[in-house]
Amino acid sequence: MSQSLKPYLTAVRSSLTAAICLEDFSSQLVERHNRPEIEVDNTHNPELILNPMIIARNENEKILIEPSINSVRVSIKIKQADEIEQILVHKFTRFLTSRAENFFILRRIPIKGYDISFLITNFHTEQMLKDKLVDFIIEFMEDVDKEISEMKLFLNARARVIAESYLTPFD
Amino acid sequence: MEDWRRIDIDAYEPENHLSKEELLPNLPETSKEDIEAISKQARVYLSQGKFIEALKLGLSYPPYIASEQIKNLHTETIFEILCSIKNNHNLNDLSSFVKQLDSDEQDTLVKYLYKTMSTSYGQKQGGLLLSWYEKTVEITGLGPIVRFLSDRRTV
Amino acid sequence: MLQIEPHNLLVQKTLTERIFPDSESLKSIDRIITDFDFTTYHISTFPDEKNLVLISIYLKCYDDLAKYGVVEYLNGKYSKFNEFLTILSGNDIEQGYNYSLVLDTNKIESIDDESKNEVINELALLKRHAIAAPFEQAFTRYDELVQTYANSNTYAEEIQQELQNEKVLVIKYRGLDECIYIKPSFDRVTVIFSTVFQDETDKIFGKVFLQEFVDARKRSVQTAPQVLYSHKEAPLDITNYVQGKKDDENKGYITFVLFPRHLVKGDRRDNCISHIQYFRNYFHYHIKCSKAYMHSRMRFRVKEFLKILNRAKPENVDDEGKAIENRKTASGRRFEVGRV
Repeated sequence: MSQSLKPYLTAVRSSLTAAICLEDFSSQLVERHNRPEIEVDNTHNPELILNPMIIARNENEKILIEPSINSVRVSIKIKQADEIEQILVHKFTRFLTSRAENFFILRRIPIKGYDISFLITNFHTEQMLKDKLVDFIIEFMEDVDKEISEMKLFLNARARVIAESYLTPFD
Repeated sequence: MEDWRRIDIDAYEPENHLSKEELLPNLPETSKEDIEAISKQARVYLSQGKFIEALKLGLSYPPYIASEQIKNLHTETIFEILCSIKNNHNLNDLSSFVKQLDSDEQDTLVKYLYKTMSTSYGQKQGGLLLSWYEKTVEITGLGPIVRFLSDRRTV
Repeated sequence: MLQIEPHNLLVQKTLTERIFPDSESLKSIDRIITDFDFTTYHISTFPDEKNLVLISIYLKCYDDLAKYGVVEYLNGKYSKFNEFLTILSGNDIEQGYNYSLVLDTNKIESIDDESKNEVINELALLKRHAIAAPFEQAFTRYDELVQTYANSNTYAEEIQQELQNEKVLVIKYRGLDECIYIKPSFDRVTVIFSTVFQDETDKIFGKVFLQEFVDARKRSVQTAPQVLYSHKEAPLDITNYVQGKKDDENKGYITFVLFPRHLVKGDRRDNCISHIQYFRNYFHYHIKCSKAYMHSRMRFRVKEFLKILNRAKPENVDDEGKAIENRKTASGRRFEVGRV
């Protein structure tokens, strides 16, 4: 694990643990509704939204946590050093979001400026263990980086083999 | 009436809701001169090697009620102090700095750590801020984070 | 399967079944086989004479090939089998196809098995031979140029100028945007492919691949042809010949410089032709393969993520720590887990 990754992940872990503190909350505007307050227009209920947090390892790797009374939105920006990584991240996140219903907490569309977003509501925390949810997000962040760099290495290795085996028979 | 379904009826009853202004804490406003004075004094402390004094000074007078511009100015000052301390000390020394702060100052420190991480200059120094963050939370626990989330006295 | 074989497997198989039949009675065949690059084969028997097999091929770029002597070249390839293989010409060529041959399976009986196999293989290489015609022509021109300039100072400006104006052979084998350009010279033959990438991913994968093609020569395969890659902009040699969309973001040009060592007459030249004409297929095929592999990898990773997420769901556990699926009350009702 590289040097600054550990403090980054610890910071994310403690911030998430603090932020995922949700309760059932009925909408103050629409009767008999329970809406994730972070997702709806809250010009009339500013008291339901808490201060958003940004944790950044560098400009290309950061996480935005937007808490509210009954929901937390977590958006992750994944490291993308070059064109290849960009396309791989794009493909990977699209792959994930198109399977969002299996992932319960995954948001179909990421927040602008980030690659992938999760939305955790009080219903999720009632059915799932909060610590394990945090674990999931941390592990996700770790594995995504690993996966992307492995895929990139693989692509380069494959390209080399292919180029060589095409050019060799000429002689 | 064109699209009556989209009328924001709640806007007609402002007394039923809290507005953003009402959420602001009732505190005196901080002026630009005050902040500039603090920044100047902090630089003097830093040049004299009085790091803890600089840090305490910076964290004791956060501009809660002020324009964005003034707030940002103070954030830069804090950032400068944090960088200066980190560059002149070991990683493990940071803990002792955090220990010398009282709990209000620790809360404010966490607020500023989050704030600096959301700025572009802070993100360039992500490693530095994260080590500060790590050491702080090691000592304080999750308390200041929760207080950061819910505190309307934003920095 | 790393390499793409130049022969068509289905044609080969169909003909093998015909020439080495399992049973006595001849069945009639009517098969349309589609190959890559908008190429279609049609293998059929005559309704009344089942021993006669008609083999036809359609190529999208046949008009270009015709300019470069494809008919003569193919006739040269197949006329040696004229005892049992008739080359059709003019109006006899099957409607909708470019080149037709008739194979008489009765007459072919007389030759030995090895020769039969040779015939089958040659027929399976029909497309390869068709596209080879312009290459052969360019290489012959190269031979001439070698002779012409054998004793002259090739650095002289006039000669450079003459070489510059040498005619470029263009094969629009997949329409205007994807062509092969061949330019002979006295010491080399330059083959340029223009290709279009379907989407952003293809483009970037393609770039990675081509970078390796360019580097491979420096690193390990020193004897290989030189490879150059340019994105969007056509190389100088062919700027006057490029048709279709000029500045398309997704277009790329790959240049192969074949040196005299690759052009030695005989097997090596033949091998070189079969190999280079399949470059585009090989290249795009491997891009698709990589994409497929990435996909399967992501599928696996998603499964792993789901496993981790599912760990967050608490299980109902009995006293011994085993999971209980559904607990029932005395009256047989079930507990609802969580909120609905």
